[in-house]
Amino acid sequence: MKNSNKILFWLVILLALITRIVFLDRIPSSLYTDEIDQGYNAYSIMKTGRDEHGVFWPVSFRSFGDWKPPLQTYLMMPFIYLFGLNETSVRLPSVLLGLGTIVLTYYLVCELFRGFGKAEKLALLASFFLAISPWHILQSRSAMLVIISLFFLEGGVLFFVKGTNNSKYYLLSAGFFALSVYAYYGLRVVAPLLLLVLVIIYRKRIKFAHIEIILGIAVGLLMMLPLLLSFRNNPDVVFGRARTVSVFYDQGTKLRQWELISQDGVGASTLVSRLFHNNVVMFGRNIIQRFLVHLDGRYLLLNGDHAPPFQIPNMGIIYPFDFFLIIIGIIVAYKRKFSSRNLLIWWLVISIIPAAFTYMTPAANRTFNAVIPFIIFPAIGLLQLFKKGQILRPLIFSVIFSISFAYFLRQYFLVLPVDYADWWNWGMKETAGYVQSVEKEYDNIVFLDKDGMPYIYLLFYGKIDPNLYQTTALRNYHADEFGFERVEEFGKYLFPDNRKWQDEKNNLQPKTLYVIPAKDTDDRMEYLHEIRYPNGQLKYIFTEPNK
Amino acid sequence: MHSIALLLVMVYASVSRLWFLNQIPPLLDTASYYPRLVSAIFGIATVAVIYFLSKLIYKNKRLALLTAWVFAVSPWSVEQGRVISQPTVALFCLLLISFLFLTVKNKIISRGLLIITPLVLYLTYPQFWLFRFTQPLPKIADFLNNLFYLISPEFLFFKNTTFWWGGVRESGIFYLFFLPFLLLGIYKFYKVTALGPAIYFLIILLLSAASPYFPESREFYLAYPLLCLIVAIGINYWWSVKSKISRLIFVFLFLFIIYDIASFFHYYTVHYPQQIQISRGQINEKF
Repeated sequence: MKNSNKILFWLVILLALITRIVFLDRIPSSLYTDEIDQGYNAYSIMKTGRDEHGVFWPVSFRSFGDWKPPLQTYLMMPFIYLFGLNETSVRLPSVLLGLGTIVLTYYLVCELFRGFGKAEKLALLASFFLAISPWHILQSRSAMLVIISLFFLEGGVLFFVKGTNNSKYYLLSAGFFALSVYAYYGLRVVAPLLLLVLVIIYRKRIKFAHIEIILGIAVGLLMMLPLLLSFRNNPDVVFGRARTVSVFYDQGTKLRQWELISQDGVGASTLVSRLFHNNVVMFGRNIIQRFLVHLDGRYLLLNGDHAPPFQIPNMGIIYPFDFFLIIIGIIVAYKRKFSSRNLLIWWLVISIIPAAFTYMTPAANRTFNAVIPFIIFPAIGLLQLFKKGQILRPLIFSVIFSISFAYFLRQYFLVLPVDYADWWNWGMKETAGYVQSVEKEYDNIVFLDKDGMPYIYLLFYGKIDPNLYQTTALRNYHADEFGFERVEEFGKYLFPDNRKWQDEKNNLQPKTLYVIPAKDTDDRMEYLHEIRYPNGQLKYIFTEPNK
Repeated sequence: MHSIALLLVMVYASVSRLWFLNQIPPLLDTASYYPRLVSAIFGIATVAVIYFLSKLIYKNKRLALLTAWVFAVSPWSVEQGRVISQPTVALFCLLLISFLFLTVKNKIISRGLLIITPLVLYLTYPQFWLFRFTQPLPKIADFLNNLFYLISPEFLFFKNTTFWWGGVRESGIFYLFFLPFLLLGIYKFYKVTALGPAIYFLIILLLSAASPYFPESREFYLAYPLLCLIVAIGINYWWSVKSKISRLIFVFLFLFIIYDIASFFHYYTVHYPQQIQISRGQINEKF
């Protein structure tokens, strides 16, 4: 690396570090349910060697019945040991591996574009785009699994490509790929497919009889062994919530199919109905449509993911200029016949495949691996637009970048925590703090809120002894329609399923504190305490029988 | 050979637009039949004009034929050719003026053609929002949403916004298996054509997205032949690649397109009339 490039590289890393670490404990404004659950399970493993369900060092955390992949939880343990059970410890692995992906991107681009005179510049631009990517920053500041999986996937690809020149890297590649499948469910589809594409693209450069390749395969299989063995006992360990989020589980398509066949009429030929309304066509179109929605400008630039918490208010997952640079980048990559062009296109396609099979689309989380082609192509596009000695174009682009980046920073750091605090379950920490401060005054504390899994916030912020919890928690392991299992009670805390304030208010128990979602109550009700969102909206009220 | 192919395309265009025109979509008012017939005739004539105009501009008979074919079979043009449709008439006139402009040598006539174009557009398409500017323009966020909707896979291949003007809900403005050709056509577009058509497309796209009546407006239809041209460029290029695998994939894609066309007509003749019958109470305009 040239000295000037070195300075630029470290500036990019510094920018990435600042945007990822400042106010990490406060923005996003609260730990999301999945983050806090992993944090407490990491704490539980540290203290007892078992997770919240009492399973010894699991290869998949049962969690809320969604069977979370384990890697992120295990990576939290050293931070919780060093800094305690808090928001920063939970999110630090994401920050560090998020930075790691930026470093890996630099080396990956250098490797993929080896022989191209401007490879280093391209690598710097790609790293810069990743450093300022809203999508990447959002994931790097939360413990939502995918940033961890991206790091290991990208490492796997980088070392594979390096392995085609020096076969000792295959071992590392196998290790990274194997770890990636422990990081996120989607990687159990993405990693093998991407590996297959790599083998096909680099088949002429791979020396298949090399001992390192055989060792690599052996290492990969050995690392996968715990997962495969667990699969024998319980397939959920491998598939997680795949069944309940799959397009085939959703009844919408089946109902439409039934409606269309009915409209064909009794007298219609069954052959015609079968030809036009069969499962392959109905689900096939549905899957292709769900795939293509991830390339829709409204999703990419304007609205982003519809499902909280993977949203940034009033913006998409990429910047508007990215959209045009991506198109230019793809065209340039093919015109100039860059050897890595097909790999990047396949990377993009494969990254979207797992999400296309789910009925919750577009999904920024499930398609997160696409962020790499989505920043390399704009880098190619921008490099093409810049010519040596030009001043005006770089100046215009700098202004556009600065405005776009400033808008993102405003939306993420100022608007999100105040106006959209509910997206991140804000208020649960405050709720846990309040009920734990008054719990001695009551025999029971009843949460009349089905959403947000309040029990895990109580465990986390109360630092409840995992041993005590594992032995006293009551749960029936009955999954709801989305596959989630709920805790019914632990200690003096009760979480009755499907009970609302309207059901309970005429049958209040003595010495019991009720935590009620504000939306379920009437305005005139008197109460002991309240929790309000930063924008002033009421979240919870607390009451007792004599109020 | 090209003449026979063109004849077949014209026959297809005629049959697909005139067959049971008085029944599909169901006529809610018998007075609508003749205006509908006008659309059908202009729709058929547009196919011919597209062929001759493309041939004139690109000096490539196969590309011209393919463009005419894509336009003739595509869902949106069939739908617009079977309902009362001002954009269908306007599109024909615009294409005809373009053809005359390029063929006529006399400068005065050429200039005259340019001058009368807005008038022709006004007379044939008074519903164009620029001519009935009574509502405020959309906000920037809505404008951008409209813009990206018009070039979204959802609108292009899966759902039709213009339901009340002849749209089948399950169909976009193109068949799904046109997608690979559309992508290839975009990639090859600049090699085949000058910047002019791209600028025209962009203007129509921006105007369509800026319509205060969006999505209840059809200005984007005026850019439809250009999208058909892009698909045709993709088909033409793909076929010119002389590799066995490429040809095999091409044949498979074409089989799927034939299936798509059959499926479209099934929806159009069986399900669409039922949807109209169910929604009769909500239909306020003649179609």
